[in-house]
Amino acid sequence: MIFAAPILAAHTKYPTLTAVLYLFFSPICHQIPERSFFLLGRTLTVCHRCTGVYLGLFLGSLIPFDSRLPASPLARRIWILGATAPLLLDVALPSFGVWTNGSASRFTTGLIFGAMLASLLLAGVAELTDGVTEKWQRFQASEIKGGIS
Amino acid sequence: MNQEGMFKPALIGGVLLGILSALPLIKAFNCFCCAWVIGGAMLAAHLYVKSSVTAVTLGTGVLLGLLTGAIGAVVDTLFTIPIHFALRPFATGFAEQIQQVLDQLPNLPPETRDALRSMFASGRGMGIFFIILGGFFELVVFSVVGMLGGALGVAIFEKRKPGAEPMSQPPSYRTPEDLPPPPPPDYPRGS
Repeated sequence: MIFAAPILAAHTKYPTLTAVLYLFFSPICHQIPERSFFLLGRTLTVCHRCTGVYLGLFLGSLIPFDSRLPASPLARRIWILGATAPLLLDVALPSFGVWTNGSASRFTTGLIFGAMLASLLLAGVAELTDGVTEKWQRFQASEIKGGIS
Repeated sequence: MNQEGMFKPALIGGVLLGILSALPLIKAFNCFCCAWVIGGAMLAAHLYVKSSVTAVTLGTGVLLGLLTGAIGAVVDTLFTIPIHFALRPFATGFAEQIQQVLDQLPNLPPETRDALRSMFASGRGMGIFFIILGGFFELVVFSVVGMLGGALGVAIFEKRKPGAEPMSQPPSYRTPEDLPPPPPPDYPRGS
């Protein structure tokens, strides 16, 4: 959806669909053109940082599951802090005049943050789906038993 | 997973994020990685972790965040309608915001832009229609982002390992009524 909007905007046949895609992301991203990547001469639907976050979510979900998330709560918190700190510093430091962020830093810090979120989300979703599968198998087993007796 | 105990924290987080996401200017904070949505889901996760006697898992956090985000989207939509009418004279309502976004779309044919603009500005009924349509968008976005916030909240606030002994339960002991009766005085004791 992020990349589809500028492609659709390049083809003037779909103005309403293009508008809907930009509107979809407008409550959750400022969409400032100066802070967004361009594709085919049009801005993406989200800014540099959000593009990094969404791409990080996608790429993070491709990493093999076992190596994705530390098991211990402390290691998990260190992983979260390590992935969030660069993003927070990239946002906060320009306010103090210590650092000037650019498209590369905004995108990279978003990418790391997104990859971290993917590791948490997929571990949680996997746990939920395992639980549902287990319940379904138990239900099926009880149905078979009920049918036999 | 205690699904009944999940509703109260989700409601608190959802109502808070919904109100903050509906207020003009304050809602702009959502432009920073959906801060209100992630914050609301993290608050719900914190409340749930605090009230749970056993270690809360990431799966529960994801479910809790989903519920919080969905409640937040409904509350946001319900609050946006009166705010839209209240701010209509100041031209900062929903239709004007949509027009601003449309103005930023590059290379939109002028006739299409004009057609869309007149459609959005054609009265109160259209305003409400687009608020509700936006509410459906938000239901999807807030639920997904809420899932991220819920998982993040559990990962930060849950310090117990899954499967560990519950910490808030008192140690088991026997009351005098539970103890077996003492042996009679003439009970033969071992020599």
